[in-house]
Amino acid sequence: MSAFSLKDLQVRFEQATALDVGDLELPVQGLTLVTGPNGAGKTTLLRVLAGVQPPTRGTLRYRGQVVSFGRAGLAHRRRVTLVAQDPFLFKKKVLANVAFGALARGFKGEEVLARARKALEAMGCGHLAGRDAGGLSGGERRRVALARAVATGAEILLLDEPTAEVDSENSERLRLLITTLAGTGTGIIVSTHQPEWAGPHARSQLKLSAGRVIAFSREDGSA
Amino acid sequence: MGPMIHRNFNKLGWLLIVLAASVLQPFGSRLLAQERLKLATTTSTDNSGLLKHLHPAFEKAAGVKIHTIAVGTGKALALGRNGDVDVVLVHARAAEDRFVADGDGINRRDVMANDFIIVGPSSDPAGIRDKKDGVEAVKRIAGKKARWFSRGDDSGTHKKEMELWNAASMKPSGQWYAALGQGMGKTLLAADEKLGYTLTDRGTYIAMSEGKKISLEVLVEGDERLFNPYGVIAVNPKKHAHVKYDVAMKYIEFLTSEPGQNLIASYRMNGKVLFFPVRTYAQRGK
Amino acid sequence: MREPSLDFLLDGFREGILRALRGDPQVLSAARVTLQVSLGSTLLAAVLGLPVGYVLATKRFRGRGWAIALCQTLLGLPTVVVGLLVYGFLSRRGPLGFLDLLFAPGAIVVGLVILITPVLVVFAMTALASLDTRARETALTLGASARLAAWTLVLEARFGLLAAVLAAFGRAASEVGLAMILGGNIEGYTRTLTTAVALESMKGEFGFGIALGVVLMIIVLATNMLIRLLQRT
Repeated sequence: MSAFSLKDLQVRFEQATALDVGDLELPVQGLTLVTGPNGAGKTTLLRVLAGVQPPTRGTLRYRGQVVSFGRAGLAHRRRVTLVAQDPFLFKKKVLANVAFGALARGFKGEEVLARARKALEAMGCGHLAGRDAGGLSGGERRRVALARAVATGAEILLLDEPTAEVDSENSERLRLLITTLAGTGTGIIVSTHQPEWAGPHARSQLKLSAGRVIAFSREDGSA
Repeated sequence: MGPMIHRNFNKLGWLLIVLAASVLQPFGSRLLAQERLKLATTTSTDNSGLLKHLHPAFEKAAGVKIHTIAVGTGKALALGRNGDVDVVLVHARAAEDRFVADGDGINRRDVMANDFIIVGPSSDPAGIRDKKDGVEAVKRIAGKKARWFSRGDDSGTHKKEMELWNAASMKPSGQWYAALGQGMGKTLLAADEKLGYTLTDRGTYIAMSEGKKISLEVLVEGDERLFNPYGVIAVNPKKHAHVKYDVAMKYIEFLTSEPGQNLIASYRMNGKVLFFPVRTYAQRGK
Repeated sequence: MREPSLDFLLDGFREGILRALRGDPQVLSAARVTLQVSLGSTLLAAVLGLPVGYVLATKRFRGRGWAIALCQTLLGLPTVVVGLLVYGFLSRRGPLGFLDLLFAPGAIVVGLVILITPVLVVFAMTALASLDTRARETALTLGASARLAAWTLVLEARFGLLAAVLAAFGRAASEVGLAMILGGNIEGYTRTLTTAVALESMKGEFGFGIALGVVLMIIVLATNMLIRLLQRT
């Protein structure tokens, strides 16, 4: 089951080519890793998949439908959500931040708060609900951002460097949360340059270097 | 988040409703309120307090509210010319006559008069005290280059001052002559501050000196040239169809007939008589 | 010769404040008129100016630089010039004379709106532009519609935006020349605290003039506090 289908895809900024993956079929079931050193184009790829960064060449399809960017891409953005590296939280309480995810997706009334609380509990942040988003530690911020993304009910979550610059204890915790999440049916793509992520729980792994795909391995052994 | 947003919206909503209500009130009250007659007059007339003494009787009898706009003589007549007021009350005969001749105003009537005086420091460096001749006084002041403060704003007072200089065949200028472009109160304050001379209407002088704001003294008074007659003129409805001509005529009628004239005669400022209703001097043929 | 002393200041001040505190009807009506025209014009200016500020801060379009420069220039409009121009329009001789707005609170509101809208636009634009640029993108990637994203930005910038409204209000409340020209300083109708101060100053009533000024500052301060209270929610 192909999820993302990239054709002749390229993203250029000014003079530099950030991403040049040509044709690529990217199935997303469970956890997919996108690895490579800094500057390899991982973030750019995720932003394209999220519908936020329009490619300078080529097309993107999700489940066979062409993905629009800009205003028209609202439907796609509701199916696919990106959590950026060092995620941005709004100037509100934690619960309000997470609830925004559900609100943005179009949920209303009681359901919004219910989903928000559930997502916070799932991320182990229930106790943070009444806190101001500004006063959280790094690890707490990431978990809240993750809860917010979960609350949207998106089919696919794109996580950009979720454990970069996080201490090992919180890193471990985050990894566990994410892999558990992947197990529940939400498709998750994690981009990372950290070797700790490599392991049996990753169903597929895409290796990038200098904007190009250098390797793509799938759990079932196909490449 | 939903309920949270709603709580904020409610607070905001109520605040906006209260604000809107308080802001719209004057507009609503204008629709429901009584008619208003717009009168343009000079600041010195308004500041004398006469109108506060005079208007309530008219407002009650005619069921009309008078809105007084106090500006300089030139501006008052300009407002009449533009049709932005319904009636003008000023004290600058030449300008009034021009106003009527130009067709901007009709039915000019004499109303009352007060007088101008020349005031100055008690030391009186130009030696004009008790001279009783305004032209002689300004000649002396110019001769001694004593400090003189002029309204310089084309007001009735300023025009009267220029009449004196013209009669003296002089065009005053120099360090000693300061044209301020300010109202009478401010001009008196400046003259007081710098120990200079100035021409003022008696009303403003009384108000300021009784209020201990200035210590200038009356040096020249009683010169017939310093006589300051007031005229009331209705704005010509032929030029501005919208003006409240009928009400304006009622007002003019009020000012020139017994009730108005009595009120003018009875007005006191700090116990002193300020204005002489026209009936008391009409026989003099002025 | 009077002895110069601090008494002149203090006596006048004390006398004036007492008059103001005793609920002098002149003070009360001037305060009411000030509040009405200032609030009215601030509301209108906010409705006009906040959206403009939002567009200038977030949208890239051709001529954006010129538009911003224009708004910043309009900030420095001399008020008497605005007053005379508006008078020209609202006078019976002018094109909008039939509205009969002149020498009424409405005319002051018109003039004030012209004066303070640039203030609101520039302040609002600054508040929104200085937001973390990730705010909008985060909202969008979470699936927010363009409208929800815009509203989210406004909420994120709420401190700056409320400050903009407050600045505009303060500017409106302290305006003299414009209120004088367009309102006519009619007692009980268009006499604001500021035009009343101008009148008292012309009459040499130093103490009462200062007292009126103090009342004005109290009003602006109270508004400031009210805004801060709102910000806490």
